[in-house]
Formats: sequence, C-alpha cells, structure tokens
Amino acid sequence: MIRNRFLVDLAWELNNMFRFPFPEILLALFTYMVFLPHAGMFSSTFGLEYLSWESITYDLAFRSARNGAFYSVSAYFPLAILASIFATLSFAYEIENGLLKVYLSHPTSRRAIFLSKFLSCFLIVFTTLSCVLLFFAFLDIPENAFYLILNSHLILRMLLVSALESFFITSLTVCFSIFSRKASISLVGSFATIYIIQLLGESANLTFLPPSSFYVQVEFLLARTTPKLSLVPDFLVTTLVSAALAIIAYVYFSRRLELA
Amino acid sequence: MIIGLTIILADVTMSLGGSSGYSNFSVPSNGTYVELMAPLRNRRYEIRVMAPKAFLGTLYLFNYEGIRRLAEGVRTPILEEAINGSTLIDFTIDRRGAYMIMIESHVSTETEGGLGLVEYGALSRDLIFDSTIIIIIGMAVALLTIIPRIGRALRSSHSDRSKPQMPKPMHSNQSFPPILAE
Repeated sequence: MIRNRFLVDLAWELNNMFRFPFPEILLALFTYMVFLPHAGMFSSTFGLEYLSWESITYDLAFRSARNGAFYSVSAYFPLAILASIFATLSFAYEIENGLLKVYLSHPTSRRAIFLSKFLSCFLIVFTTLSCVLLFFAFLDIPENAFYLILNSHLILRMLLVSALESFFITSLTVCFSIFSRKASISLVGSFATIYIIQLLGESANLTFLPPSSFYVQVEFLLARTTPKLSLVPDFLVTTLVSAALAIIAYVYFSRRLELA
Repeated sequence: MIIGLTIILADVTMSLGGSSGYSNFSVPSNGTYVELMAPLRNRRYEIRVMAPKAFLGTLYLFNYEGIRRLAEGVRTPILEEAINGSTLIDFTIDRRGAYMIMIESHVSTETEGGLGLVEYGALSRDLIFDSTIIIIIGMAVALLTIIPRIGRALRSSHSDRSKPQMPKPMHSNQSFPPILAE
C-alpha cells in the first residue's frame, strides 16, 4: 500500500511539474548548450601498419561519448536555474502556502512525500539532460552510431556523469528549499549558492568544487587508460556532498519540519 | 520536436564562425603519415600542407567507408591531390563524420612538415536535414498521442447531445493527489 501511495505521489508530482512548460524549456536549453561547443574537432595519428577497423570504431565511439559528457558540463548553468525552480515549486512553495499540510492529511507518510518530490525533481533534470546527451553522441558521427551501441559501457558512463551532475544540483536545491521554507528565498538563495560555488571554484582553481569537479568526473569515468588515483578525492567530494545533502534534507523533512 | 528545432538554431549560430587546427607531421622515406579527424562537418575546408620545397608526395582523403576499406588494404579515397612542396588544397565535405588524411611520400628522405586545416563558416545542411527528420518524428509521435484523444472527445460530444448537460463537479479541477483507499 505504501509503495502504491509512493507511486501515486510520484506520478502526481511529475504531472504537476509538466503543467508548466519547464521541462520543454530545459530540453531546449540543454540541446543548445550541448550542441553549441560542437565546433571542436579531434585528430589522432596512426601508423598505417597498425590501422585496424576495431580500434578506429572504438576510438570514434569513445570520442563521441567523451565529448558528450564534457559538453554536458556546459549545461550546468541552465541546469542550476531550472533545478532551483523545480525544488522551489515542489518544496518551499508548498510549505509556504500550506499545501504540504493538506498532503500530509492524506493517508501517506512524510517519507513517501519526500521521496516522490525529490525523485520527480531529479528525474526531470536527469531525463532531459540524458536525452540531449544521447542525441549528441549518436548525431556526432552518425555512421559510427552502431559501434557506440556495441560499446554500451561508454553510453552508461556518459549517463553516469549526467546522473551525478543532476544528483548534486537536485540535492543542493532541495536542501536549500526545505530549510528556507520561503519560495522567494529558496529560488534566489539556491541559485546564488550554486553560482557562488562556481565563482569560488574558478577563481581559486579548486577542482573539487562544481562545475570543475564534473570535468574531473568525466576524466575519471571516461579515461582511455586506468584513471589516476590522484583524481579520486576530487571525484568523490561532489558525490559525497550530494549524498550528505540529500540525507540531511530527508531527515529534516521527515522528523524536524514543523508546519504552522 | 524541441530537440530538432534547437539543433537547427544551434547550427545557425555555429554557422557564423569557422575554426582552424594545426598539427605537425613526419613522413618516413617513401612512407605514409595517417591522421584521423572527427568530426569534419558539411562545410568547405582548406588544407595547408607546409613542407620543404623538395618534397613530393600525394595527399589522400578517406571518408568513413574509405577508412573501413583502407583497414582492409584497399585504397578508395574521395580526394587525391599531388603535393609539391607547400601546397594548398580546397575541398567540401558532403556529410559530417570521421575522415582520414593520408600523406604518402615519394622522396627517399624523411620529411617533417605542418598540416593546417581551415574550416569556413556555413550552414551545415546535413545537420538541418537530420534535425528536420527529428522534428517530423516528434510531430508524428505528438499527433499519434493527440488523435485518440480528439476521437474520444468527438465521440463523447456526439453521444452527449441527446442528453441534458450537467454542470461539472467542483472536484474535477482539484490540484491535490488522489486519496487511495486503505
């Protein structure tokens, strides 16, 4: 019954999100941001005697997946804006207007409500970004698309980068939204926090801060050789912080949040 | 549909500028130098081969199928140009994808030089074509989901004409999740 309740809540949350054309706007922004740096071209040299069809097709598939994952980081800014809006609509706006109190009067648990709201925010961001990345990877070198499917681990790694990016943004914005409780503060505050983190990372050259850390994740997950161990801390920091933020938000929402 | 339209918009924006790249090459005596380039787009390109005056050779350009045949040992280039010292070669790519440049030396000394690639700005027609296909597929899917709804609406409005019209209940516009029976 609880599982059914969770699925009903999730479906309703997703319907709620799709009432506004935000996912469509998100899709258009991601596509534009990912396809625009497409001007880049790579070249590699081979000895004619070592030329093999397998190595060339793998090399091309690898480059398509890697470029897709790299360019996904360029969509970080629109990702932050839209995730702030989703988190605010799902949490802060409903807390502020007393809608959450009405939901809690239904036979449901706080856990189910939190998970359905969090998952709906994450799913919209992750699905749209992944969809754009897949389009990019397959349209990059269309003739090599078959070999990209054959090397499906490359696609999975590219999607993992997208998932980690979406998870961080969703965790941060949801956490901010729950603690602020006000729609205006949540919207401006979460976006400002993400922007300050970006500025701090760029000015002080701190590679463990996003969005630079996402480039490290691409380097780590889509490396031709064994990834360097020195990249592990930078790779893990963002993921661990995301998980910690999600847990804190869950604990606060389910145990501490008092609704006036 | 949205993706297709945005790709066209991105293509229009990208068409404003070109790009260029440079690499060094070294060809052994009577040997070959091979460079894989991806993705070259549906645009006009200029290859600038910078080599000593005494260098004689041939430049080949292979498309994706040509690369596959080359790996099997058969040469089917889409472009073949003689190189006599520094040379300028113009060509246009019909479809974006992976291309391979091969320089074959006809001299008995090892030669070192540079290979410059200039891409001119233009609309990529193949990308617009692919985007159009994506838009058409998107529209078809949207229509397929809308047609049954229109059919149902027409049928219900047709059958309801004989019945007296009742006002809709207030809860039809509710914005709360439905309550499941425990």
